Amino acid sequence: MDDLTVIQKCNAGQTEAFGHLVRKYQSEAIGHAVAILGNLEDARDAVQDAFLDAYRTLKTFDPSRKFYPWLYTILRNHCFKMLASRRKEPATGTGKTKILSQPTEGTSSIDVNIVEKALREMSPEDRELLTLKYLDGLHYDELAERLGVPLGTIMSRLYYARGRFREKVVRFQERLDSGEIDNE
Amino acid sequence: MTILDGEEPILSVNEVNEHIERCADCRHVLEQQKQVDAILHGQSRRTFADNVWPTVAARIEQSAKPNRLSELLLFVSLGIFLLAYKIIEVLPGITHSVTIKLVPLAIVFVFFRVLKQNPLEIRPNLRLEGNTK
Repeated sequence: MDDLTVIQKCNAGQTEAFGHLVRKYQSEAIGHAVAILGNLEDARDAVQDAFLDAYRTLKTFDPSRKFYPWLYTILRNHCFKMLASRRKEPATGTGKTKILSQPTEGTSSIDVNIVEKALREMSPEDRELLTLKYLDGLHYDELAERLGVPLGTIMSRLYYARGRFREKVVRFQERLDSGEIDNE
Repeated sequence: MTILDGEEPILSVNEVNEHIERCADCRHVLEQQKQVDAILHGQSRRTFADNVWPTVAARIEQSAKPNRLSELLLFVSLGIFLLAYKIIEVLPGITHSVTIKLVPLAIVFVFFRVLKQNPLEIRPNLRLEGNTK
């Protein structure tokens, strides 16, 4: 069953049909929320809120668009709202959830833990951009649509985010080599 | 980097290559950006096996339930207000303009807006149940 048929069923009052969309996209959505928020507990809450909002506003969904990019816009709004409120109040879910999966052999010359640490030290905006670009393989126009910014902004933001990421990787690698930190 | 990202560059590939050959600063920056590319290209996103549907379904069901008590209070307040308005209206010795006479209509309109209901809406999906003879 394609997404559009499911959405039509939902709009006709079949709530259960929405479960199909939730089950289809929840894993991807949690992964994206973890990349922005940094912990699974908050990511789950944000994903639940995003799906609930999506259900309530499903009638406004433009059928010429794909469902997931639309949901992603709602999800990232929730994530950034959550981050804003977290700045005002102390965080409740302080657990650190890994963003990256363990690599298959020979995929990268650098240790995945260093990459994970460097990503975690990035700002949520940089982390979101880099993970969408490299982990999801999105093109500039797709990134522009997801983040709601012009193409030129994506190019410049990517340039600066890469620079900042590299600095952090180099710093972590140096600290690891000098024994200042362990590889955990 | 636009070319390496597989995107359409503003300048032609030849123009970019010529510039990179001549400019040491750009060559250095490009080299650094390529390093990041090499580091991140091998990584993949972790997958999560959580199932949020039971919670989402419960919250959808919860939000679909109308709050009977607050609706009842709203109806009672409307009734009291309209009654008070009628008493004032029939008091002798007071003349009312046409605008004042439209007040109940405006109140009822606002009331249905608050309830998010359209009293004039025709619902073809509604069916009579039981013995309709």
